[in-house]
Amino acid sequence: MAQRMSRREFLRITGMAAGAITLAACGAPKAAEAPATSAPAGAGELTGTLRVSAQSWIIKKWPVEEVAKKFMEDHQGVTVEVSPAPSKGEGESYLVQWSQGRTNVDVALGGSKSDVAAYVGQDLLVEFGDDFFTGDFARDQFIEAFLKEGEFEGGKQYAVPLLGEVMYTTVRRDWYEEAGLLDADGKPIPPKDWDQWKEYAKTLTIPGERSGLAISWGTNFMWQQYLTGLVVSKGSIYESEGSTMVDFSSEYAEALLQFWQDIVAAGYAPTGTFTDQNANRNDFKSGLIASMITAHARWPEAEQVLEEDGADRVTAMPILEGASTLAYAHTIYIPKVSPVPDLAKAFIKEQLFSLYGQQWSANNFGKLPTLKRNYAGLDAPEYQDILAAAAKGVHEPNYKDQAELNKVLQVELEKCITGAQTPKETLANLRDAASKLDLSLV
Amino acid sequence: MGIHLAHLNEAGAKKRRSRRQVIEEITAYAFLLPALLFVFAFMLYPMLHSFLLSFTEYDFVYDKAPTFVGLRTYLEVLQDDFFQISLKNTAYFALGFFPLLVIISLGIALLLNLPLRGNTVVRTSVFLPVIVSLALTGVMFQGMILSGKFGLLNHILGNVLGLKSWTREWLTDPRTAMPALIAVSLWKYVGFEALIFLAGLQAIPEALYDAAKVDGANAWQRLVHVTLPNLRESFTLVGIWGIIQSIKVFEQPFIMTQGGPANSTLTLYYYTWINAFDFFEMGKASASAYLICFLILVFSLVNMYLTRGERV
Repeated sequence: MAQRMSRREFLRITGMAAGAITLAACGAPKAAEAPATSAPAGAGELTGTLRVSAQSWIIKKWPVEEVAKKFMEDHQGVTVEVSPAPSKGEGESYLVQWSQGRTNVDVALGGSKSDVAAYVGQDLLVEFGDDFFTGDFARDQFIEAFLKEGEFEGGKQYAVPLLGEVMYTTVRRDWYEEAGLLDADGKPIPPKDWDQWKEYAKTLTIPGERSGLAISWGTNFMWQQYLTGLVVSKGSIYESEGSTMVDFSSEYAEALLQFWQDIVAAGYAPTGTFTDQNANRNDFKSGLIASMITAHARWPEAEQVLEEDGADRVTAMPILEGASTLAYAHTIYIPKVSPVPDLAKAFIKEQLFSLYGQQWSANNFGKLPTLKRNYAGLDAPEYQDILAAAAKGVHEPNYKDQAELNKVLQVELEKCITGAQTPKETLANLRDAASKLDLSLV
Repeated sequence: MGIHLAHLNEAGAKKRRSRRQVIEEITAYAFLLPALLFVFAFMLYPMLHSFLLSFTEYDFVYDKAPTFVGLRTYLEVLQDDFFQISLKNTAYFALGFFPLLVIISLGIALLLNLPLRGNTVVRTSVFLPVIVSLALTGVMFQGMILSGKFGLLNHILGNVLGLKSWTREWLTDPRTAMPALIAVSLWKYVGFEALIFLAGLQAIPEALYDAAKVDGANAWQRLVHVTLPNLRESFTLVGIWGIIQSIKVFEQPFIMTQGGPANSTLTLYYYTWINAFDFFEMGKASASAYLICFLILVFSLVNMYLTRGERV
């Protein structure tokens, strides 16, 4: 005979159940637990599960999922799981998890030097030692500036470069031709100095219709733009030979800021990137900008939009004639808490440094290979110039108080660009701010 | 013997009752447990922990553990140039946003309270922005309305009204960036405040207006002497809510201007966020969060004091 449950009993049982479920839910999340399997130290018979996390844009612009499949085909005992990073991949993404000895990631893809520095600061990353850089993967096989992106204090390598970028100029070839700024081979003629750039910008500007030159001054690029300006005009980013302090005092620094201020005051350059990091790339693709100084990969990106009909409208050009430029990379790193570091390193060498993956990304999205040999046979002719720029590229330093410096730099340079203060005052303010920060190298 | 048995029965009943009471209490706490755990884990504990952190120096990346420094973190925050700028900017935002919020939402509520045709449609339209997420609002205004090149506002000013000289890059000009954020915030929040006022207006007894009319009061006098005094509770609610929104403004500059240009839209909350998640200075971030909390408390008390009193 079925027994009826009283209201009181029902409430009691459901209440207990609610409490029990709540307590059970307070347990550690399963995703953060290490996988049961792990790779043996010896190569050849790799087994285990490798969890690869990449910033979402990398999953689109680098064939991560494809090479993961390839790796599993090559190693039957291996499972590779690719997932997008929880945020853009900045410092906070894994900091808490890894510092608590947990991880749901064995290889992380993406992140500049300053992003990786947060993990290095807490000693959370596996070091890539001499045993990694052997044979085809010796240090001299890499583009030096890209490899330096993962090198930290004491020459320790905590990250290796997945893809590289150099600061370059993306230009509208058709408008340069109209302005008589192409050479006999149809290549744009790079300006010799800032004064000539000003002339270029003036010639290419049509008031109310298009800007002659756009520079990425957003929070994501201001530091790189400033360093690039120094590299291309002075050949160095430091205040003196042997110094590790970025130049905030030379005539080159002042001339750069004066150039920026002048082109904005004259209406040749827009300031949309102050608040919208993508303003220049969108405006370029909309036909509102004739030239744009930013990461070189904007050139193939713009080609995809502006050359849909097959016309050759977009090309790349050095920022100043014969000058080197700033080079940087998006890196790969392995958390110390990963149970499969050897498997991770094997995946990096076999797939992430593969000719196929690196050239696929270059041909489709302009992201540069980080190993020298992977440049052979790249389609676009511009690549040879870009490779030359990357080969002699200068890498950026990373200071302990880098985030604070970036913030101050952004504010002071925006004030300068909008004419709220002179270049001299700006540099003085920067020197003053820098003197209060810990700018020891990380 | 009989007395003894009765005593035993009474004791048994008492025991039974107390056991039942205990079970009931356990049941009640079991039901409360999820909520209590939630409140403790996600509200009380973080609040207490950040309060303790606010007296420490703690770089989350480079320091192994927080170092107790007493009130020094608060002093550092108060002396920080960026904090002072953000305080000034927040005051600018609040002084522009709060009075306009109250005036416009009250005006809209008064209009919506009139027996006009189509009021339901208008009421829905006014409330619609409230259900749009603030992040989406920011993106929409940044890209579609306030953009210098593609924005609707410049198109209307320049091409429709012929006011070409009025067009500008609204968000990248330090002089117009904050007013632009105020305008966007008003668009977003006015509907909600209007609804609170409308509820207050509909709670005012019609007899009060009839009595005022009999006394010869005109429309303005009825507004000043009947309507406004009877909206005290609404003013208190709107005031506290508006003060909180004014001081904790974050999403708008975060999405639309990133605190710029040249710090012109760096607000207190954004300052706290930068310290916590850009600089990883958890002590400073906690201290500035508690300073914001203190400001909100003070202004809310002032608001309650100003709107105190009995219904007329």
